[in-house]
Amino acid sequence: MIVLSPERAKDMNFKIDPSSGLPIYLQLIDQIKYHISVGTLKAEDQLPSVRKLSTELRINPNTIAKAFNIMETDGIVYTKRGEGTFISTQAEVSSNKDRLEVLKNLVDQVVETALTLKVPREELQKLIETGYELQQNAGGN
Amino acid sequence: MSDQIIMMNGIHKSFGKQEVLKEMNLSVPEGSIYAFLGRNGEGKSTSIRLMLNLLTPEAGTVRVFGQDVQRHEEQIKNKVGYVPETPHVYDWMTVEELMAFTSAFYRDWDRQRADELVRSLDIPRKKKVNELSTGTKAKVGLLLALSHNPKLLILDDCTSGLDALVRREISEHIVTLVEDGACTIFFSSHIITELERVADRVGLLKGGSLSFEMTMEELKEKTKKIYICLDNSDPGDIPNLYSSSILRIKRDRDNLTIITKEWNEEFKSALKGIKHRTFEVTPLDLEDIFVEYTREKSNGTDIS
Repeated sequence: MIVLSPERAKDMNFKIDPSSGLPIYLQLIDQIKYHISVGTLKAEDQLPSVRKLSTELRINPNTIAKAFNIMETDGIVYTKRGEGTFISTQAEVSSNKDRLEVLKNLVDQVVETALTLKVPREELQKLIETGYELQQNAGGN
Repeated sequence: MSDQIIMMNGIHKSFGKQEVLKEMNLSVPEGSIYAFLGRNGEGKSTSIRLMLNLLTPEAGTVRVFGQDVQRHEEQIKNKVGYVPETPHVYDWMTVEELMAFTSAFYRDWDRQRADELVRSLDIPRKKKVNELSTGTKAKVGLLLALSHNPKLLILDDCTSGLDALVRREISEHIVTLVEDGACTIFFSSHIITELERVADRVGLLKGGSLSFEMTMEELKEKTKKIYICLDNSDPGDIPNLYSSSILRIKRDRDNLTIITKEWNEEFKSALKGIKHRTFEVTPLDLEDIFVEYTREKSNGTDIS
């Protein structure tokens, strides 16, 4: 008989690319912020322990601890001694700002590319409109 | 400094007329995973043997745990776990016999830990070592090195010949060791992608000493590839002004590619000042960085 005992900590799927230009600890923070903004991580959810993440992702626990410390200083997570690290209520609130931040970086890249390719502003705006229409037709929101 | 687990200062080591290490300095902070890179024959294993007092330098000092290795060898070795390329063991012994045999050499041999490791590394206890696959033999090497709870683990190119599954098993095992500074890991390997995940500090041995030694983060911030498509312009004097920070520069008509080891705002402004159509800064992964540093010719330029 198999008994599945519920894990307190969320079983998260993180993808770390050590060869990208972004330091590993920042990749981890970005991904946790992303999960908060789309709702897969909510306030009071427990993050996997440093040890668990370290083994699963095969990354130095110092790097993970660094990510956790920065998020704690920024108020995204809090630690309960002997229990673990949890998402704070404040995190959900500030994730709105983060959502815009994510988009802003992407938009900056798109605008820069458009300028390099000498695509006029109106053409780019048209492309964005088309993008939304396609998503709506595909049943998105 | 007592928080440097390994400290090598001013090391000179020759074999006959062959000078292998020249004014070599190296330091490994406590609780870090240090990736030790270098081409074959540059002296990585020699450096490690000096740390273990298996060799004596002609000049310079080697300190481990803040103590001189020549004067405190036994004390130091009790707290060091060493995994060579292939385990130096009597391979007619079974794994169990080998564990009993090795335990006699260590004051702090931890029977429970050894048993735990045999289980988690999935090593068949009753089999003779010479009947094991290469991968399992490597795991035995790790088992023997960890069973006395060392404060320093030295891995000397013991994963380069192993398949991805075993390498991952070993990585999974060793990353947790440095938690809370319980252990420090000195890792020499050719599998640079695996090192890139776990190491927080890197040193590259070339030409007798370290070409660089710094945190992984800093190394990646400073080493970049810049691609500039010139707009009927010329880089002028800029490559010469910054020649000491350029690893490689290549010009093919309007396409200028620069690999730098000292990327900063000043260099960026100087380059952006050259009239250009495109300007791209690309990060380099650890293997790219290794290749650029080791292929560097003495004058480092290749302007065609």
